[in-house]
Amino acid sequence: MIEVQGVSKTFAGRPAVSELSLAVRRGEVYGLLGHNGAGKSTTLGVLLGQVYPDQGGVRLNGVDVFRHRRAALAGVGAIFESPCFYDYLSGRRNLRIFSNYSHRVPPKRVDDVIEQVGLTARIDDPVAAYSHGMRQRLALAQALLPGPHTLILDEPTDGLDPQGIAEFRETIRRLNREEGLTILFSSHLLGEVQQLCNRVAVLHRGRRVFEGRWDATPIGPRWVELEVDRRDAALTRLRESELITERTMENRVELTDSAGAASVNRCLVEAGFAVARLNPVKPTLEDFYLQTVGDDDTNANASEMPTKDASGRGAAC
Amino acid sequence: MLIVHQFIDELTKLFARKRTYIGFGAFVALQAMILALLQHPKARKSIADLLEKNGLGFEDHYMGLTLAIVVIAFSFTFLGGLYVALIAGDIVAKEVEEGTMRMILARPIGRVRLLLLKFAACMLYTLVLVWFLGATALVFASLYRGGLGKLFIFLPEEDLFAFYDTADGLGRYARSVLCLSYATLTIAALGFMFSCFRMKPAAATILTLSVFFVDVVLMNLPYFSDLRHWFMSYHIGFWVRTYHAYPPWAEIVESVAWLTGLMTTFVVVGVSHFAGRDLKG
Repeated sequence: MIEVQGVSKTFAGRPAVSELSLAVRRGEVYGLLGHNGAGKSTTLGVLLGQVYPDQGGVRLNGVDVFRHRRAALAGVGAIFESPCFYDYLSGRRNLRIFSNYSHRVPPKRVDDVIEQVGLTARIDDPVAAYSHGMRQRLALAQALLPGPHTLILDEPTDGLDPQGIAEFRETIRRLNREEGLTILFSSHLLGEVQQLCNRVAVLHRGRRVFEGRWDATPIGPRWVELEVDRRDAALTRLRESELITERTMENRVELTDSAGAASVNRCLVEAGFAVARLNPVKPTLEDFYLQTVGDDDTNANASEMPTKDASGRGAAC
Repeated sequence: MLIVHQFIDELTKLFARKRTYIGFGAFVALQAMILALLQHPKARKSIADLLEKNGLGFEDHYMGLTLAIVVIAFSFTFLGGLYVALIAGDIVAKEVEEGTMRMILARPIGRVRLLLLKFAACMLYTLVLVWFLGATALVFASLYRGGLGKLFIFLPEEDLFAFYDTADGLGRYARSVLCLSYATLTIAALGFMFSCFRMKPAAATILTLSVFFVDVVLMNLPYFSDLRHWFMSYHIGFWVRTYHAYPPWAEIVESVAWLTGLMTTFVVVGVSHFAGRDLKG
């Protein structure tokens, strides 16, 4: 379990994180979303005891990171964007070095983890000869070696090819499902977060603007895919009936707040249009994220934005 | 014990890098050059005149032990500080720059313990480098002149004029190399301290060398001759004073205390700063 309580951090007078609170439950895959500079890396730095907060505290599995660093981090593995290793040493030696900062790991366990991440054939080569994907797998191995209960992943799929991303995603799912690992996944790749995470927190300019299940939140705009004969006339009729707005996108139309797919269908059929397809579009995490964060102009005063919980109600951070 | 494995890991990281050996290679090359230059007739005549004026035989004293001291004095002044500063300046700052420090500090290890392990590795490197310098200087000079011979040392600025037979000379040579290696740890501690601050490894090395060379230059200015004992390099030079027939032990102990105090201060300042600083990718 990861608890961040009222953490604020300022760098050179500029707030990086403001009164941030998060709670990641045991065994869940939790997404941390935000633009570059939103405060994700600072938050992870605070979580790992690498950045000292100006105020607030962090507990990992109930242990305060800054008071009992060793105990708090004993069950944590971390992977950073662009994992860094001693390039002149072999993958195996790197694993030994990093795992020795936690505790001695039996050679059998090392071999098992190497096999688990698929690096057996190249593990004794110098890391300098590894591709980005292999380095990322080595990073996963070093995170898993001490047998963690929590994984903290900072943009772990950045720079991976599509196959590498899919493999990494599957590994994360398996670790969560089979070993019950709690996973905090920070990324700006919304598709990855959508596929992996149970709950998300959205950071914007250092503040949490959402936390919870994004797909349980009523969000707009609501779109339907519409295929109908005499399309222009049909859209005019729907607008006159105040069922859709002026916004359209390819074959999609945006519903007004009071409309539903059924009322659109009824209106068109009664007016004699032949409806070939009427399909509500399920919103993606990207839709949700963009609506939550908005563009920079609308959020110029983001620090004054009310935060929302999963029900869409305003909530204090 | 885990700390032993962690220390071995620090040594592995240090000694598996090619640049760690630049210092060793450079010392060998410089020693060969100095020995070759000492073969020049003018150099030989100058030393022969000095020896004969004092009733000492050239062939007895212009041998391995005497030349080894000359080689050490020159090569350490030019390169010793440089290579120790290079490694010490890298030891923390390089890991921060390359991102491995962030990986390490995601682990359950305290920053103070980590830094002390790193400084211990840095100390070992420094000791090995100076001992290597002492051993190779003696071996090469002896091979070059065909034996150890007797020891002769003349340093007017230290009021030092001494000569010893082979056994006594060898003992004093070994003792002085040990003293030099201890003194050099001060430069390592200085480089380590700068390495703990938020700066590039090269900046830490350059700052270390700058402080050391400015200290040497100021100490050698005639205006400061009465204040020499306030300079770090004066105390670093205590190894030479062990060659006096009756070594000034009080002064030597004072220098050792000074250097120990400076080292401790540098390490405490570096560790304290690093322990309180934010590390962010």
